[in-house]
Amino acid sequence: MLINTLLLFVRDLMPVLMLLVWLLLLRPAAGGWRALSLALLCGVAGSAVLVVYADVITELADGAGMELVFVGLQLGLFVMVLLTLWQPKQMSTSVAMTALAIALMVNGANLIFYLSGYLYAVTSSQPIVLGALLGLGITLSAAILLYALASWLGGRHLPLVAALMLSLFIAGQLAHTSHLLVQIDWLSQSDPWWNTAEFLPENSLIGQFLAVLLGYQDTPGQWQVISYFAALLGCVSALGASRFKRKFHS
Amino acid sequence: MVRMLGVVLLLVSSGVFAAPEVVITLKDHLFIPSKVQVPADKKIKLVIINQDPTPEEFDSFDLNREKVLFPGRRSIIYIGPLKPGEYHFFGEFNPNSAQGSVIAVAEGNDHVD
Repeated sequence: MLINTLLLFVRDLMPVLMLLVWLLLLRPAAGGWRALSLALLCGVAGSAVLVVYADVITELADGAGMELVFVGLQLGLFVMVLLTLWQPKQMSTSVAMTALAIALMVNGANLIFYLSGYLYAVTSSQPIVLGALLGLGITLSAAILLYALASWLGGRHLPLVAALMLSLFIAGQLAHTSHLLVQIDWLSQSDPWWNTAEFLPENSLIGQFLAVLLGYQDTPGQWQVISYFAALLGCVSALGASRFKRKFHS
Repeated sequence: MVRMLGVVLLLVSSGVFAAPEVVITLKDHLFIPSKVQVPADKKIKLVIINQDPTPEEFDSFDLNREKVLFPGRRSIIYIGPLKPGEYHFFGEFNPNSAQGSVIAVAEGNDHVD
């Protein structure tokens, strides 16, 4: 349970922190304490609503309710990221913080679902508390390290580096989301395009980290590959349009 | 053309193309039945009813599926089309007791080779 809880934190907390890192690097002003607190509050409240009504939501749409809610929220997050990339200089704080609140809502609800499941299943909560503390420590350290490393290596290209990393992040999130649609038969099932599970399983610590950072998947189906590259194309187009607009106006 | 479209819509709405349904119940952290036989090369609708008072997660590396099963609720997961063979699944929160497998059998075969 200790390892499971640790991996759970990497899987569900890391995306929120990663999004925050890239948004802060893209535009430091987005991280005003008041805006950040409001985003966290909205995200936690949203998670709580999902958790409280989870049993009702899950039976909606012939049992596809939860998947559809998660897909809708992830698409909302994707739109917020596109808006952020399209006009990073004028990016309003509210767009960035809405993105953060959505990410927190989805991942926070998942974290609570799984933590409660683990807690129900064990007689002693000690390994879970320890796993949670370790997971929290690892994810926070990784986020801070990533922020420092990107700031140091990015130099004057930092906004571009942050924008590209944000694109890879959201593409990975959407690729993962598309799998939910396969699970509820909204998209067709296909054989994996490749299988790297033996070399680097996605549910290992490094696999989870790479999944959040770059969208790594060990056995992706056709829709995961298509949605990954479609999302990446969307992000690069938004970034290109933003640069063209800036050049055109200057 | 319009008539043909109407027939197709009627067939879809009447469930003619619906995937075969398999019902599994989760009770006392056990999947019942623990082994289910399904036709190979066909999409299958798994209906899992969690009769336990606690949540569980249906997890399968073989089927590439994971879904939280809320207490007292009915969850749906589509799997397949599967090649003939055995596909293991388990409950993430109670992996020692909640275990089972889906056995995909080719048409005309009564057992897996």
